[in-house]
Amino acid sequence: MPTFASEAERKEILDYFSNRFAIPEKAFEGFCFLLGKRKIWVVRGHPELERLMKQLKFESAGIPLLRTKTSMWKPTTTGLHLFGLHATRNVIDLEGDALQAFLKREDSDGSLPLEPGFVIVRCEGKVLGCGIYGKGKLRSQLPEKRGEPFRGKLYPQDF
Amino acid sequence: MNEKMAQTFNRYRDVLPDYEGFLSAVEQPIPVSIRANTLKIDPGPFQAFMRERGYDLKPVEGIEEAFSLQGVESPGATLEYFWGYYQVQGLTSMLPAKVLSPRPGEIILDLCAAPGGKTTHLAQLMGDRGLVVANDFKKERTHVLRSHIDRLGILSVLVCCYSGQAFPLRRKFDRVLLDPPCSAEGTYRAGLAPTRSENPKVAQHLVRVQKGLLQQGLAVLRPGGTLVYSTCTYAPEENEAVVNEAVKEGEAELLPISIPFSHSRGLPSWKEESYHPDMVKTVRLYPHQVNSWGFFIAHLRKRS
Repeated sequence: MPTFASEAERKEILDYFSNRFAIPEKAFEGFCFLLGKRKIWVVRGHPELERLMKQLKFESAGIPLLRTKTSMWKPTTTGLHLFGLHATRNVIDLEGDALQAFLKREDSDGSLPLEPGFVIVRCEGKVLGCGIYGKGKLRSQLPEKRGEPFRGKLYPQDF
Repeated sequence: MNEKMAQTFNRYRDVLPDYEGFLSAVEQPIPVSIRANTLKIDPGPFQAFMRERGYDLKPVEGIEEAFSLQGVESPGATLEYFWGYYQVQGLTSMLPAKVLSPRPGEIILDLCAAPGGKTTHLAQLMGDRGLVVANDFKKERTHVLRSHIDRLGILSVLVCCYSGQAFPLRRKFDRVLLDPPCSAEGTYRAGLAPTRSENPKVAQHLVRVQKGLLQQGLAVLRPGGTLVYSTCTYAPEENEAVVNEAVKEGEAELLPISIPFSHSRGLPSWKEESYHPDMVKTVRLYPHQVNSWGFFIAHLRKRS
């Protein structure tokens, strides 16, 4: 089971979201970060949380927030759905063909006002998930399984 | 109707009100009901949002977060589902968490949590403030549970994989939800497979498991704490008889239940066995009373 993030580790996580997406620290107030081998988790803070985690063995706590397997941290779709709404940097709203391509996990070409790296993709102002942008290409990072059913279908009449 | 199911139901002929109405109801397909995820969107704006996007959505009187959804073949395959705006859940399946009525800040145990509809509802009712320990014996079942937690964006749930009957006693909980494995007779509707009650050995095993789980559920409950025991079966052996074990010795007392739908009281007796007089405080829900799964719910308080 993951361990609680130290103050320094918490600051590193907050700095990541602040620097990359301009998500204010305030968005994470009241939440704890847990560090696993490949993921960082975010869980609701509670006076009994630490004791409870010592008393029982858990498979997971809260939701996965970041994947840390590689040197470049990758935000999870789940995490972005919750905290991505506070982002103002490296966020792009897609529509039309670009949106369809993103939903189908296809690349789309074009120069976008984004810094290279992971970006937040929205549709109708709502966070869809994570993309990776570089060299004029936007690549969808939507989870293959979770996005499969509605791929390319935005409204009930599309089914 | 499947002949074996007809035989199963026939033993309830004398205790089930309007038996013919019941038989007629189970021959109808079950409607799709969904629960708005109020952690992400309030019921009013949810209804407006869904209608604006073209969904045929109707509110359910009595449960403000519940809606019936028509004309959608796969309600678990929409963009709105992916966004975590709703959970597909039977109407009667929403009742156990409502009856348990968890409060923000409390620590709750869901002893048999997967696939997670009730767990996530508990967290939702607490405003995601508090802690919900979601336990399930089968690790592979917790994957589905965790996928719902992730999709609905719930931060207060911790998942563990203990045998429910041997759940560690070192932590006491404010409330416990126990929805144990059951013969699932209440889920028999047109077009669906027969249930497990056909096999007597399985049914007997289930009763043993249910009694063990209830015993452990009460053991990990703090004195004065409350426990909801619910099943989706009509079998008194898995319902009143299990609860009777806990109340007859005075370990727990039965509390009254308020349900926003037409329902029946628990049985005071079955065959040669008489139950505790308070058993009428338990609730039975039949599909001809509320168009959903059949359910049994008991609300218990552990004596101090």
